[in-house]
Amino acid sequence: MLKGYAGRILRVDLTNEKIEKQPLPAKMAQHFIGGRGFVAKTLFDELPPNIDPLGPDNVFIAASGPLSGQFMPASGKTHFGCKSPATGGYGDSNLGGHFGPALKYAGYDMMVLTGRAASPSVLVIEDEKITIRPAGNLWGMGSLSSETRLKEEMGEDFQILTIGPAGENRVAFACITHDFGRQAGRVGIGAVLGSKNIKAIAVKGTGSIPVNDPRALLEEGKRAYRNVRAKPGFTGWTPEGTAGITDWVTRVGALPTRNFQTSYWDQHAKINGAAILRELKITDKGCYCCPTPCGKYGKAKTGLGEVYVEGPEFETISLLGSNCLIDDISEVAYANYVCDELGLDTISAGVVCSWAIECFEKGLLSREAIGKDVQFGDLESVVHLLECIARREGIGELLAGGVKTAAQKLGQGSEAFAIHVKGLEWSGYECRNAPGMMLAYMTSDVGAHHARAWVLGHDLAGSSASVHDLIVSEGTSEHLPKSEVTGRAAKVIESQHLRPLFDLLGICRLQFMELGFEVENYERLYEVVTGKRMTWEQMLSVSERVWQLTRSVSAREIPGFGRSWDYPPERLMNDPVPDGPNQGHCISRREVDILLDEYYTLRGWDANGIPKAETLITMGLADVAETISQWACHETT
Amino acid sequence: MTLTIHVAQSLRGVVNDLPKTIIVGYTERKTLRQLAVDVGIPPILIVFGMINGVKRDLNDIVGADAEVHFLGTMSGG
Repeated sequence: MLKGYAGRILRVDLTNEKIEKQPLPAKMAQHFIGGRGFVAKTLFDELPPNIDPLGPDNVFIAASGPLSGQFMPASGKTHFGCKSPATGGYGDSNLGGHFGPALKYAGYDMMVLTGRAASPSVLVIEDEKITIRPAGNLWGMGSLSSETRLKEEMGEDFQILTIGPAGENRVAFACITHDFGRQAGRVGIGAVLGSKNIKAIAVKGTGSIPVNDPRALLEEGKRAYRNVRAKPGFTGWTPEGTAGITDWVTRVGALPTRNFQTSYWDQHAKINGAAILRELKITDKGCYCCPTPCGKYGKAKTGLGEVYVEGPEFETISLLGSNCLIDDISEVAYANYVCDELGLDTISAGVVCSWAIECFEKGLLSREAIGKDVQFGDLESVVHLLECIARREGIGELLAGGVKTAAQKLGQGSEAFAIHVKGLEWSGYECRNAPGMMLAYMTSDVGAHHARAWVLGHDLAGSSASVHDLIVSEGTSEHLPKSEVTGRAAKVIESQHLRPLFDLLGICRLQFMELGFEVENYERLYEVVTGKRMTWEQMLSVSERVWQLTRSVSAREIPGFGRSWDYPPERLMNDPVPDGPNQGHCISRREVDILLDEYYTLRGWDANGIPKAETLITMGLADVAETISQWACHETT
Repeated sequence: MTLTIHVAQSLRGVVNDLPKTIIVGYTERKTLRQLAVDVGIPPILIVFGMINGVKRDLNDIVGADAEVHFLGTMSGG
């Protein structure tokens, strides 16, 4: 076994209360590295066919990577996986904080939960001692409140994951919360935990992780900290964290506004990073071993009450803020808090709420159906909808399945402005004049999620005939030229291997992506931890293997899966942006097909977007290639 | 008198052939925006600029012997 791993997998059959501790296969560590790679491999190997994502047969996975928990910058990431209740296909989501390191210190690289507990329970992992205890009156309690209660009962040494009422009620965009404000938000991972009757998982680890060269790690780790803190962006980026990009996203016409009706909002300065510093922030908050704490813990005062809350970060600002036209940072933070306590993903929640409000405006949903008049820009409307959703009360029953399902049930043309891909709601970048970013959302393996690839800068750089044109137009023109759709796929694919690579290693990508922490540092840190030399290119090839595998999982799990699942919503294809820098632009269906054709060809997929057997074999996935023809929907024309 | 301009990887990854550090002579008062244009960086790609380690508006004037940092397209949380 390579060093850097705890070397074991913890398996808990909740139905039979059977606990197993298995060795981590060395081949798995070598071929899939960790984290998201372990999730993909396990889902492909162990998901029973045709199961209900919210039934007991689904598999819930928590996995760290070889760099998780090590002495190096931002090594606190944990990856979670399941068959997604939002999409029916491959699902993973990750969070920072301290859970993954604690799980490794307890002796486990990965935890796999199957079955369903007989009654609401808390899973407690304390090194070798694994217990399933009744959740008692935690059931029904909010995520943050539950974590507080468990910390009081069990002690601060336990790292705790919780779900809120949304997870208990199996809302398709329920999240997992940890460390009072860190979420694995996407794909409905919290609903899967709720479906297994698990309210919380508490872990305390007192062991250590074998490292190939501890002395070298100490030196490299210290050097890495100094390096990150000396980066040019450190003093500029860290104070505001991800919220610092709000102004720029607005300036380039990519801010989701009013349920993606437009991409520019002149009120953005009321909800940007500076507003957080001015009106909310008490302190920075970081994850395990993080030198660049991007979390902003603060206090929000609104007409609905005062709350302490971590956030909002940019995605929350855009989806609960501009997309719902909430123009007060304290109100955005309050909605953020409500989502956190109820256990709802703020991205999906913002999209679903804005869709419901637009339906009300258009007369597709009545006051009686919703329970009150709702309107954009009104915090009470948003909070009302969030509470209904989490408890599946009233209109919440319709909305709890996510925007795709809700629109399919409501019909009347509402599907056109249900903003999602594959059933996962779109995150914080409007793309009608950003074809590369549009393609990134379309082909993201979990649905419309920005963390898989992010090429907005390349879209802008390529949106004019030359850089010179962009330079000249800046400041003299408020209108960006129409972007070309050809030649976008290679950058998207490159980004789809690069960004998720950090999810394999078990560390945060922000030090690399935002601050420019160099590639060679990761190669060196991996080597001193594991004892194995692996170049960045070799790591990227593993990331590519995982991408082919996650696509294959969805092709197997989703009936009729293929090209049609990669299309963006009608609004983004048919409705030109009405104002702002991208006024008049949209991407046509024909252009979408050009994007996909180019992408599928470069990926080695057929015309329906299914990996070809020869591609899978080349990627070291012969076992997948052997069976893919049995379950995938191939198309050659 | 000179100005030292540091170009972040997030910009160099998007605009080809930009060096990591550029030293230019200080001949007149310029904004961060004008300075970016001078060295071939489309201002629209700059998420924020810093003068002597402090985040500043692109329309702010750069003084002599300043250290300027340009940071590029970042992605949210």
